[in-house]
Amino acid sequence: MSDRLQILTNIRRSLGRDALAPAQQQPLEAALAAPQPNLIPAQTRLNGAALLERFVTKAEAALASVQRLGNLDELPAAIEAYLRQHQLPAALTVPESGLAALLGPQPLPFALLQRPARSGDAACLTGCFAAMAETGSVVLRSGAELPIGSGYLPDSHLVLLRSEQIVDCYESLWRKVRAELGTMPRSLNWITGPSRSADIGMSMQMGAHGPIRLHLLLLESP
Amino acid sequence: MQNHSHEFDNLIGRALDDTQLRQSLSLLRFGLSFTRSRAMAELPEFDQLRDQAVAIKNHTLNHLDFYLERLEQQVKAAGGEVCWAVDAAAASQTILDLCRRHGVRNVTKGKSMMTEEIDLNARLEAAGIQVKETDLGEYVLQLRDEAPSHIVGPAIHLTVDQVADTFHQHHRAHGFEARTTEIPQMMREARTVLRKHFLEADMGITGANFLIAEQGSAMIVTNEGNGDLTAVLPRVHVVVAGIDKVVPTLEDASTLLRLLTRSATGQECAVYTTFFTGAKRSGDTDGPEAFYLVLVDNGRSQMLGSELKEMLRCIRCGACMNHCPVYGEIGGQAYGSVYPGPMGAVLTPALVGLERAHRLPNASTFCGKCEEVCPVRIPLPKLMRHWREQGFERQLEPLSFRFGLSLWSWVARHPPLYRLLTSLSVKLLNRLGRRQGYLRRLPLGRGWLAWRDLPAPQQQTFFASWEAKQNRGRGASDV
Repeated sequence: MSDRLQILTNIRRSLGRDALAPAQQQPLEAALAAPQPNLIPAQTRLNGAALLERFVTKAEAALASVQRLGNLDELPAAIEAYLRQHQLPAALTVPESGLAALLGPQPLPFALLQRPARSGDAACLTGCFAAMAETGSVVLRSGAELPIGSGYLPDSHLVLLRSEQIVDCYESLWRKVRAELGTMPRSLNWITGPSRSADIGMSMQMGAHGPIRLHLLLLESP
Repeated sequence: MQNHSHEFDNLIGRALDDTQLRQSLSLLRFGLSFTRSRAMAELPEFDQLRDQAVAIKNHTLNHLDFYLERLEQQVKAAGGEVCWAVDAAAASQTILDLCRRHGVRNVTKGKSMMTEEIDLNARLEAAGIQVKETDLGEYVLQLRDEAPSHIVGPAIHLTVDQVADTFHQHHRAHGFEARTTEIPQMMREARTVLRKHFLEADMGITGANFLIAEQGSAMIVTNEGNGDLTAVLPRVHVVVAGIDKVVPTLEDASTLLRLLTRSATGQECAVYTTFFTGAKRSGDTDGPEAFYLVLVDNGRSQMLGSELKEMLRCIRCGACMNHCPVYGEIGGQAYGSVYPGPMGAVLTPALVGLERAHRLPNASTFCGKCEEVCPVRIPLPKLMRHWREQGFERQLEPLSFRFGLSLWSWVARHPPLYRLLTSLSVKLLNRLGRRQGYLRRLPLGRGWLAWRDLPAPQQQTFFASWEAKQNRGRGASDV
């Protein structure tokens, strides 16, 4: 008997029944075909300015830094100021071609490297699929544009997000995933602040394996 | 790891004598229970979410075959493969076979209690494969050749000095000459050394906090990001998880996740919450070419039909051990098992046999704190009592223990005698300890008094106080 069959047989014996008949499977199938949210915490049901405020508060509580931008033209100067503030080399890796194009053909105050981030890169800018106000998380997804490793290998990870990308809670993210992607990508990554560990002496330190700093550039819609 | 639960009594003695361990444990006890209760207070629906979590897990367990088959179907649809393993040996052999199939020489691992349960590292290393733990705590333990002491913070028992010694010994080969106890510098060293391993690995092995049947996804939660680097960079990604990890939908996983992080570390959300679904898709710019999900039974399908069924709801948050007065005194390694504390005292006998682990469920005062904090309301004291009864019936306890228990139960069934004996012993102990208020030495009391004092009892027994209180109440007529 294969391990698979043995395990399934044991499970059915323990449950005191045979494999479910089609009629018994039907309600389970129906529930999987149209997943329903369970209880959603009331505090997360926000919109408009309150949603934005919660996102910023939660992201900062998770020790991300947040910079609000009024329009895209402010982006190069904001990046340059960030690099200078943290005494980083004037260079930025930008894996996504669309994002690199946004920074424009104009001369930039830093070198732009349009390629996947590598170990040793000081700073990398990515976009994101969504963000969640519930926890102040940004959500990356694997795909043809973004190599997911680029969110983990650089020392500083900068994320450009537009305020309309922010959803209120986990359940709203799933609605967005189902509507826009259909099924899950290979990798869907929620990132809530910079990498950290308390494994040595129970003292929390930033930069365990992933980025030491997470900087969110939040483009607010007019 | 190898199981040492049969040595529990000796390991307890060693733990109680270990002053460094006691220093580390004192930090744990106050830190994590405080952060958990703060997180709970900030979420008014916490108890309702617990009820829903119980319902989700019970529903899934009652249809476990259905959800596992759906999970398998969805993993395949996403370009992955599912391997089933009846026990620990089959699971580690399966992974070794996968290593051989893909010509793997270097493996990186995210933290996974399941890989400890199946003793995977030993199996792979014996076959000449290099295995590197990448969770910082697990990395330290691998360098020290030690077993984890906690399911969330595996190296929680070590002091900074102990870790500094370990790094000093092992990091010299990587150019870090000076011993340091500066934690940021220690982290930088580990980061530098482990980064090389991440980049060299052919295969990444992670566990899963939840498996999602609807999508065929495996979810992991970390604060370090090591799980992501383990899963993204190598050309093969293997997820190893127990069959009890499956839940129906992303919404169900979300409900459980809200409880998991708060119960484990008091965080609203961990830094990295990642959902892996199958292998790299055509057009993807990175990710593994091959993805495997190894589903491990190892006794779980049997538990499903036993009194221990409720234990399969466990989401491995560690809250029960963070709040356990026994764990707080002896730490996790004394249990000799991958799973320590109250959840370990229930799970370990099911995994390695009661003959080996019958002492574990006896190490509880039944204070009930573990059940109180459990996010999925597992009646841990009841389940420990189940094992105690089994152990007693099967005569696994030492003769002196069984004799003592039989004697006590005989006396307890003769109330006048019980009251006489207890009132005599209270008077005696009270007289012996009255001057200092505590007792330091007693005949037959070494096991207790070697590590702690016994407070001198009140003047009278509980029965006598109760009777007096009742009489007073009747007299005053206002009680």
